[in-house]
Formats: sequence, structure tokens, C-alpha cells
Amino acid sequence: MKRIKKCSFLLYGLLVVGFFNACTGLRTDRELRIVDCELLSARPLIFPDYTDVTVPSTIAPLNFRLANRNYEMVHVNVKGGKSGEFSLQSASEVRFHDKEWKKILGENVGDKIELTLSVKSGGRWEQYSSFPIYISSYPIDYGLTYRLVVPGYEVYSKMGIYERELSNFRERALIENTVVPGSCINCHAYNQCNPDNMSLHVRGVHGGTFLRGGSGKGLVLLDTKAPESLSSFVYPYWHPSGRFVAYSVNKTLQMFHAAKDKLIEVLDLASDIVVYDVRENKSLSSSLLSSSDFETFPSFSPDGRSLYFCRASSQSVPENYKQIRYNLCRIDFDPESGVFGQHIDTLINADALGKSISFPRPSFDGRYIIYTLLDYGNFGIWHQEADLYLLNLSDGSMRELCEINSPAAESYHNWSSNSRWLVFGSRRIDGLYTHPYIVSVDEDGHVGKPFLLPQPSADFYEDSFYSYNIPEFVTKPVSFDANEAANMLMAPGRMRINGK
Amino acid sequence: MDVKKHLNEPLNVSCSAMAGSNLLSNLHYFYSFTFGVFTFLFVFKYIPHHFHYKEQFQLFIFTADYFRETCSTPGGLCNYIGRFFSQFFLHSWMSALTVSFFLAAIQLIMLRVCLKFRSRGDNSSSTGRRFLLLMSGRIADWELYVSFLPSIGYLYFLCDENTQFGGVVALLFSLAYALFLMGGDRGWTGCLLLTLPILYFSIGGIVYLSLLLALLYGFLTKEGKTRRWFCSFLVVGILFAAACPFIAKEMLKQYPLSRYFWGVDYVHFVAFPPFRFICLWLLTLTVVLVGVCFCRIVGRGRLPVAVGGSLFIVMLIYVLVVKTGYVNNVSKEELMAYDHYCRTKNWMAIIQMADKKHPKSPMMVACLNLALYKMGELPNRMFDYFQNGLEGLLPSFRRDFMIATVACEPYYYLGFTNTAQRLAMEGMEALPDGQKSVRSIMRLAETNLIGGRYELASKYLRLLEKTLFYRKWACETREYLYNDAKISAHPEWGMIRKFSTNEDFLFSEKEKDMMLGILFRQHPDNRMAYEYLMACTLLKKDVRLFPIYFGLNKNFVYQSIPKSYQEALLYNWGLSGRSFDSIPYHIDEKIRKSVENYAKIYTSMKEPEKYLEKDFSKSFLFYFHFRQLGKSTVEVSYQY
Repeated sequence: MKRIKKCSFLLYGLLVVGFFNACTGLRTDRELRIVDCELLSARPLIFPDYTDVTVPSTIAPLNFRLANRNYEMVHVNVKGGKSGEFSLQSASEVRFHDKEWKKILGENVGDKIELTLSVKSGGRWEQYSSFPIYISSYPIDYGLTYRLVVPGYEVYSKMGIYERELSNFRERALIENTVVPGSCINCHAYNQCNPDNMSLHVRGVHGGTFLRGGSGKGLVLLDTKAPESLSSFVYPYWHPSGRFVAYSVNKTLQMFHAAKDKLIEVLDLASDIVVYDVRENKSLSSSLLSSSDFETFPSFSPDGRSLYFCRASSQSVPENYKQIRYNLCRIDFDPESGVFGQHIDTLINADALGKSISFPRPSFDGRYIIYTLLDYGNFGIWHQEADLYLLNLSDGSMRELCEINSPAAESYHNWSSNSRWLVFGSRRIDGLYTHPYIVSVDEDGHVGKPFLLPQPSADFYEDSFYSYNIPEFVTKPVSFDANEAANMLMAPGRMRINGK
Repeated sequence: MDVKKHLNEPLNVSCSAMAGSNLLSNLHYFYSFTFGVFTFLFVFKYIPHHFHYKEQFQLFIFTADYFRETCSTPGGLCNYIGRFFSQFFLHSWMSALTVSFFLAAIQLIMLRVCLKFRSRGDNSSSTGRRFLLLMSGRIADWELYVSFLPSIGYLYFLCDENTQFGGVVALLFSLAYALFLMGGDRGWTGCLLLTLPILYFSIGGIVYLSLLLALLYGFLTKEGKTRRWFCSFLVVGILFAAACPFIAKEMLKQYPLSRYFWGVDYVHFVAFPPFRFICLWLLTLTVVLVGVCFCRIVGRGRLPVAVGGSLFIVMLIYVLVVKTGYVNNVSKEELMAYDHYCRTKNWMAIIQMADKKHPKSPMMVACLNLALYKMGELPNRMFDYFQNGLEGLLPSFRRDFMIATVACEPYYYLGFTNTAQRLAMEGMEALPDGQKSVRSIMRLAETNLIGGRYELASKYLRLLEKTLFYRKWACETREYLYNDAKISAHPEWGMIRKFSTNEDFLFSEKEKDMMLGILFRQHPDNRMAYEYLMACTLLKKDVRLFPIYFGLNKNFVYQSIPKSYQEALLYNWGLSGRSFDSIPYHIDEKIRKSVENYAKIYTSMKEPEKYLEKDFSKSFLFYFHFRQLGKSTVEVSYQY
């Protein structure tokens, strides 16, 4: 009797596995071979485009589908440059088995894998020219965090900050705005990818700025809106020491274009920069950083002795909004005393070029600053012409990152902790929804071809309503309890900042 | 006490309940059917547009991700099933059928739950005799009355446009679960209680209703050790169920604790506790308790009923409750009708509705003005109806899903595709339950198609291809992607693309006439831009600019100058003190006389409005003098 039961269970298990495989249309077999196929000289068009990309060896499987083509079956042969080979067949999209994928990537670090696609259509097989995926020898951080939000206008529904592991498809919500209805969750930042130092701003009736400092005090909720300040603290950037966080305070205006090529304009009406001293619970500023000009998007140099930011001459808005052009500037900062320098250096006079700079992000090895260049203003996400540029701090040269730019907007970007990877947002897929791309940057500043953050399904992004805002690398899981955060937000108390 | 007897008792009670059920078996289907028919007729005839309204503010797609996302919170399964059935609200008859089927099913299950409370000897009459007694009001079958309570209550709630259908599904499941709990022995009940976490996760907090009903049943119908066991099980179950929201909150984190107590999205405004639904469940429980106790005290079968019969009472309650629900929402039903006809481009229906009863809300007036334009009657007939300023022509954006959705319509047809796109997106994002709107997605697909943003249009079409009722439209529309010639040949999209603004400027709510002017200057053959510009000028009462704008028309030939234009031109001419004889426009003699008469009364009477209202309320001049610009008082009450 027991034997019959065991057999039944086994049979049931086989049926389930068989059913699952039938549903996914996937077959993996090392010995799968295609015979009698026509060889094509072209490479396959796949979505997402993972041809020639450089990836870290721990990245989750790069699942894809053939674009612009109907087929009955697709066969993929994956062959490592050093070792390893496997094949799989699918009636729909190509989904790699995690173990096989990781194994072949691990065996070919510093080399490449070659993918050869054969497609069965109308009963005939055609084989495309193979393409490589390069496996970088540089490790990548544990994961990414980003805000998921519908790229709307003034009204927003569900949004949140999410953490995604890069070695698999696991995503978890750190906090969603459903936890405190009516709130808006936006700026989040870590100290050089280390989530032990974290700043996260929640806007709304129950709003506040969460801060997890290095002092071991745990999570605190700040009220950063002083009566005399323009706004709460936004656009945070941590000082490498963990003692300071640079923010900007902005009074902004949102306007809407009538013509089809542009949709939204977000402008500063006023903006200043402040530095928050975590240890002393006070804000620091300088008259140079709170002038009548617009100062915004601060970021500390990796040595902590310079503060980079964008500055533009104030203009009357909305009449002259196209004249607002930001330069990339720098000011000295003494982390021991918290005192700013006496003059501002202009690193790039973008205004003279008829351009504007936003989101300067220094690499953590101190060699580069990556920034967005656009025609005017500072909100590149709504500017199709917004592209990424790289400033070499050793020789002052700047160059367009043609390797990663596209006709659509490229905007928010940041470095991995080892400065060998960049993550940035791009609207290249459909022109509206921002998606996260990762790209390798080697010691010589060579930039590879970016790859879209892999997802379980190739259709994932097309079925999604969300834009990926402010993608940031994190070196380990972010310790953030939404329940604790919600309780803190709903409680009346906020830590007041002691003043200037 | 005889232990054996008591061990057998649940079975006996169950048998007796079944006997009661059998006695009424021929009747209760009749009652349920009758109730279903009445509900069908009510929904179909009186509130069909409430359900059109509900249908458009969701996007049910057949994907694993949508299922997973919807079902990932307590009550999610009911939300999923409710949204699945809400798709059928697209057509009036389907919505009426769906609602009547579910509510009749709830009534039927509730009756079976109530019949469980019967004890032996409750039913001694034959079915035929019972029916006669029932009809003549000689017998009070409290179970029958009570069985209608949740369904009638829910029908009342469904008269509110914000009530979602997931709650109906949850109620049905809850009563079915209660029936199962009552239906068996100790082991059966224990097994069912083990499924409590799954059930809580599927139907949310309404699981308490099941447990309390079962507890009541155990307490009132069982005796001795059986009762102790049964009730103990259920008390443990209730405590377990009470812990479920806390466990869910600890595990899922992303909603306030209160949300985990009810789970299901009973209304669009999910952040607020569904108190009235909870009241209905409590009322149901109370009435069951009272009914059982009353029967025990007074006895069954000898209760004289004062009014003319049990059915009469039920139907009276039905009519009163349902009618109240309807009367409370009749104005909203009208608004939703305007919106529905606007969405379905049934312009004649809008005008016919307005002819019967003049709309007052800006949203309705905006639909009417659009319909008048579409039927070529805007310049001649716009003042035949109540006008409430620019808000009734081009409504301003507010953070409200209905207002934004309606406001989108005229901008779309005018060629302000960016603005239409914004309002469609804003309307969707303003939905308080975080759902997406199928109507907005369709509009977004259209605006991006017209704007040549084909990748984006393709994304939205792809989503629509995964729906039940919009798949065909999406597949057909897909053929227009990357095909400029085909879009240009399309009677609607081609025209809008042709008239879309090429010159960039910043949208301004306060300068709608300026924007219309820019649009018309770019496309002097855009008749809608011209007529809306003229209407805008008239509604702003800008009679000095009117002749200038009037002179801009070089492309459109009217048989005669439209009535409202003539009145405005005459008024403007008269302001300078010149004789009407010298006016350089071809003015209809009848209109000229009418204006002269108007002027005579206006200038001679102390309170001219009451004298002018009768004969001149449909003129521009009456609007000019006696209508306040800005929001009407009606609008305030229509804000959702």
C-alpha cells in the first residue's frame, strides 16, 4: 500500500513538472542540436538587446525574446569562451535556468559567452550569426534600489522604494506609499552604496525625512522644513565620513507643454544647498550656496573635501524658462569644521555652450564625474535631448558617453561601490517609461554597452506601468522596516533640526 | 443527559433543517428568482450607467502578474473575481444580469443559512398550505425576510458608484463558508477552521461574519457537549481570525493595520474603513439572533402579520431601500449617462437627455457642448441650455478621476493631444484604489498613436490585447502603428492629427481662449477650434473681443450667422450707441427684434430677470446679464 502511495506521489510530481514545462514551453538539454538549418549572416534582433553587452559574472539570467518575428520554436546554444556549453529550446521567450546560467558565467569570468540562436518558422530552421556577452572580472554590488512610480504629471497613485537583488529576480518593497495613504516617497540615498547610511524623504501630511546615520542611533525621522527655508531637504548626497548629508531646498514649478514633442517642464523658482550635520543635528550653509542664483544637486567628492553642485543664474519664470542653464561648480568643504570655502569654481561652463548640467555624480575612486547634459533646466527626465557625459577629473576633459546614450532621455545615474559599474535611467524603449540600465566602466574609462536590468520575463517592462526612478547600487540588503517607518510617520513627533 | 443522544444531535438538527429546507424548496427558488428579476430590471432600467462608470475605472488583464499582484493582499482573491465580473458592466444587460445573479445567489445562501437555525417541529404544514398561509400573511417566516437583508442592503450600496463588486463576491463566499461550518460534525468544522488563514487571505475580514454566524448557530441550536465543542472550536477560530490581520501586517507591511482587518476593496476609496458594510453584517447577525429568539419565545406559525403578506413586506423593503438608493443617486446617474454617451460618442443621446432636463453640472454641460459641436449645433443652440461658464466648455483639471476623465474629451477632439493625454493619465492616477483605467489606457493609446509615439502606443495596445472586451479594438488599432497614411485616413485620428498643435506653448488653465486662438491660428480650417474659441469668448462675456474673433473665420460658411453670434454682435454694436440698421453683418430680423425687445425690458424694468426669464432665457444676452461665471452650486455636490 505504501509503495502504491509513493508511486502515486512520484507520478503526481512528474505530472506537475510535465505540466509546468508544457506551460512554459521550455526545454533544456545539453545535447539539443539543430540540423538542416539555413545559416543567416545577420544577428538576431532580440529584446532586451543583450548583444555585445558586458555583464558581471553574478548577474541574473538575461532572459530575452526575439523581436519583430513570429516563430514556432527558438533554440539557443550558449558556449563559454573558456569552457561550458548548454542549449535550450522554447516555444516562446528564452528563459535560462539559473544554475546553468550562473555556472557558465562563473566559468568564463574575464572572457565571454557566445549565444547562437536558431529559429523554427514554417517548419524550417534558420540559424542567426552568433553574438557574444562579455563577462566582466569586476564584481558588482549586491543590488539596486529604486523608486517605482507611474510617469504621470501631478497626480500619483501607488509608488514605493524597492530593493532588487542583482544575482536573481527577487524584488522587495522597502516602503510603499500605501503604508501612509496620500504620501509621496521620493529621494533616497546611501553613503557610497552602503545602506547603513540612508536618507529617505516622504512627502505629504505625514511627511518627514528618514535618516539612518552612522552613530548607531537607528532610524530617525527629521522635520527638515524650517519656516524660513524654501522646502524640505531633497536630492540628498552623503559625505563619505557619514557625518554630513548635502541636500538642496527647492521651490519648483511644474508646467505642461502643448506640442507633442515635450510633455512636462519642471523648473526651479528658487533653490539653495544646505549640508546637514548628522552628529550635531544642525544644518550648515554658506551665503555662496544660498544666493539668488539657483544652486541644486549637491554631491561630495570621494575625499569629502569638495562639494560639487549645479548653479544657474535666476531667470523670470515662465517667460525665460529656456534661459535657465546650470553650470557644474565646486566649493571647498572642510569636514572637520563643517566650513565651506570662500569661492566657487566653475568646472564646466555649460551656459557658455548653450547647455545645462544636472545630477553630477563623482565616481567613488575620484577619477570622474558623470552628469546629464541638456538644453536648459535641470530635470533631464523630461528632455529627450538629455544625455550622459563624463568629466575626467585628472585632465579636465569631458566627453559624451556615446556608448550609452540614445535619442531618448538618459537621466539619473550613479556608480557602484567599486566605480566599475554605472546604473542609469533611460527612456529609450518607449520614450516615456524610465528603465534601469547597467554599464561597465573599466580602469581606463572605457565604457561597455549597457544592458537592461534583467527580469524573469522579456515582456516584463512592456507590461509594467512603472518608471524606475533614482536607481542606486547597494552593497547589502537595506535594513528598513516599513512598519516601523509607518509608525514613525503617523506619530506626531519629528526631530527638529537645531538651526544654522 | 444521554451522551449518545447528544452526539447524534447535530445530525438530527441538520436533518430537521433539511426538512425545513425541503418544505420551502419549491418556494425559495421562486422568491430568489423574483428578487433576481426585480434586481435585473432595476439595474437595467434605473442605474445602468453606474455600472458603466464602475467598468471604465479598472483594467482587468489576463496575466499571471496581474493575478499575483491583485491576490497578494488579504481579500485580494475577491477583488480579482469582483474585477473579473466588473468587466461585464460594459453592457447594461450584462451588468444587470451579473448583479441580479450574485445578489439572488447571496439571498439563496442566506436563506439556507437561516434555515439551519430551525429546530425540529418548526415545519408542520404542507408546501401548498404554507404558500397560501404565507401569501395571506398568516405565517411569519422570519428566515425568508432575513435572507433578503444582505442582498437588498448590497443593492442599496451598489447604487453608490464607488462601491466595488469584490465585496459582493466576498459576501457570497462568507455566507457559503458559514453554511459549510454549520453543516457538519466536529471534525468537519475543525477541518474548515484549519483553512481559516487561506480564507482570510482570500476574502478578508468578512470571514468574521461566517464565524459569528456559525457560533450563533452552534450556541442556539446545539446542546450539551456538542455545543461546547462546537462553540469552543469557533471561539478559537474567531481568535485565530482576529490574529490574522496582525500577522498579515507584520508580514506584508505595506498597508495600515486597519486595512488588513477588512481586506477587500469594498469601495474605490480604500483608505477609509467600510463602516456601512460592517453595519450591514452586524445588522444581519442581529436580525438572525432576534428572529431565532423571537420564534423560540412566541412560537412559529401563529404570528399574525399586520400587513398584507410576507412577500409584500419584503418587496416594500426592497422598493423603499432600492428607491432611496436610486433617488439619492439619480443626479449622479444622469452625470454618468452623459459621460457614458460621451465615451461612446452617442452625441444625439446627450442632446436628447438635455432636452428632457437641462444639465447643470459643468461636467454634464461640457459633454453637452461637445455633443452640440459634434452635431453642428453649438453656435446656434448652446444658450438653449444652462451654461455655467468656461467650466462647462473646457473643464479645469482637478485631482479627481471623473473630472479629469470628462475634461479630457473636448481637449482630445480639439487637437490638444498633450493635454488630453495628461488628463487621461491624471484621471487614471487619481483613482484612489490604485487601479488603472481601461478608458484612460485606450485614450493614451490613441493620443500616442496620433502623436506618432508608436512604441508607447504599442505598449498600451499590448495591455488592452490582454483584456476580454477591448482585445478586438486593440488588435485592429495595432494595424495603424507605424502607418502614417492609414492614421491620416482615419476619420477621427486623421483629423485630430491634422489639427494638433505644432507650435509649442505652455498650457494655461487661465488662458483657454488664448490657447484656442493659437490652435485656430495654426489651423484656420479647424472648425472645432473656431467654434470653441467663439463659445469661450461668449461664455467669458467678452463681447468686445467677440467681433474680432468673429472676423477670423474665413473658411466656414454658415447658412446664416449663428443665433448666439448674432446676439453678441448686436449687443456689441449697441454698446457704442449706434443704430442696428448700420450693423455690417447680416442679422436675422427676428433676432434683431428679439434683442430690441430684450433691451427694452432690461432697461425699463427694475428687476428685469423675472420678466426676461420666460422669453429670453435661451439667449446669450440673458446669460450675459444673469449668469454668474464660475462654479454652479450643483457642481460642488458632484465632486467625487
